[in-house]
Amino acid sequence: MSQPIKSLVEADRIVHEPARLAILALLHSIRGADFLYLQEETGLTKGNLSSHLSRLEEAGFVEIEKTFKGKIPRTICRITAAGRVAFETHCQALKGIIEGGS
Amino acid sequence: MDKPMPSLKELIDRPFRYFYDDGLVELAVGTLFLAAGLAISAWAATPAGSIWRVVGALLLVATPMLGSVLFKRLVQRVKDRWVHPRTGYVDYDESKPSRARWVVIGGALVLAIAGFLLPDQINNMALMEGALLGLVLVTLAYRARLARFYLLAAIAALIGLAAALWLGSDLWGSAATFGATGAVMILSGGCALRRYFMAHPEPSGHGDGA
Repeated sequence: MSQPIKSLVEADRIVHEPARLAILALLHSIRGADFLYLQEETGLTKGNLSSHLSRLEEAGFVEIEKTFKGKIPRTICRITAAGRVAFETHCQALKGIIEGGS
Repeated sequence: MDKPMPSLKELIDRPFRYFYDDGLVELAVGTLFLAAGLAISAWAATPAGSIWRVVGALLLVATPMLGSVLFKRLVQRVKDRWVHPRTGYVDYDESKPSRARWVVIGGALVLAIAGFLLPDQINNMALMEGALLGLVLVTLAYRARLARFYLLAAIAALIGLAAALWLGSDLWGSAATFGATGAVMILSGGCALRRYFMAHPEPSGHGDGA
C-alpha cells in the first residue's frame, strides 16, 4: 500500500469527522470558547454539537468546564495538548494525502 | 451548498476575526485616535512657553496610555453585555507572541529610515504616520480576513499623504492624520456594530444552552 493511501486509511477517525475537525480548528489558536460560539461558527444543532464535544472529550482532545458568568451558565471548551497534537498530525497527514507525499 | 467550504486555515483564524467582527474595537481605537488628534491640535494651537503647552504635552502622553487601558476594559464590558450572549465568548491566548507584531515593528523601522530620505518640503511626520497606520490596518486585515480593514488602511495612508502635501507643520499634519483616521474608524465601527446587531438579535433564553 502506498504511503498516502496508508495515511488515508489510518486517519484518526475521531479527528477526521468534519464537524469535530472544525471544532478542533476553531479551538486551536485560542485558550477556549463557549458552547454558543462553537454553535454559531459550526452551525450545528445543540444536540449535535454536544455529541461531538463528548466524543472529543472522551478521546482526551477537549476539556469541558461548566462555569457561570454572573448568574448565566457558560460552558467553556478548551483543546488539550493531546488534542492539539492530534489536530496538527491530522493536518499534516491530509496535506501529505493531497500533495501525494509522506 | 450556498457557501464554499472554509479552509482549515480560515477556521483557525476565525476566532481572531470574531474579535473585530462587531466593530467595537474600531469604535474604541477610532475614539482614541480622534482624541489624540484633538489633543495634538490643542497643543499646536497653544503659544510656545505657555503653561498650557506643558499641560497639552502631558495630555498627549496620557491619552494613549490611559485611553488604551480604559478602552480595553470598556470593550470587554460591552462585549460581555451585548456580544457574548448573542454569538458566544472566546478566551484569547494573549501570551502567544504574534508574527504580525514583528511585521509592524519592521515596517515602522523601514518607514522611519525612509522618512530621512524624503525631500524637506514634504511633511514627513504625517506621511509616516499615515503609512504606519495603513501598515497596522493591512496586517490586521490580512490576519482577520476583514475586507473593510483594507479600505481603512488605504484611507489612513491617503489621509497621511494629503496631510503631508497640504499641511505645513508636522503637528497639524499629525493632528489631521490621527483625527481624520479616527473619525473614519468610528464611522466604520459604527456601521459594523449596527450590522452585527441587525444580524444577531438579542437572545430570549439565558446561558449558552449546553
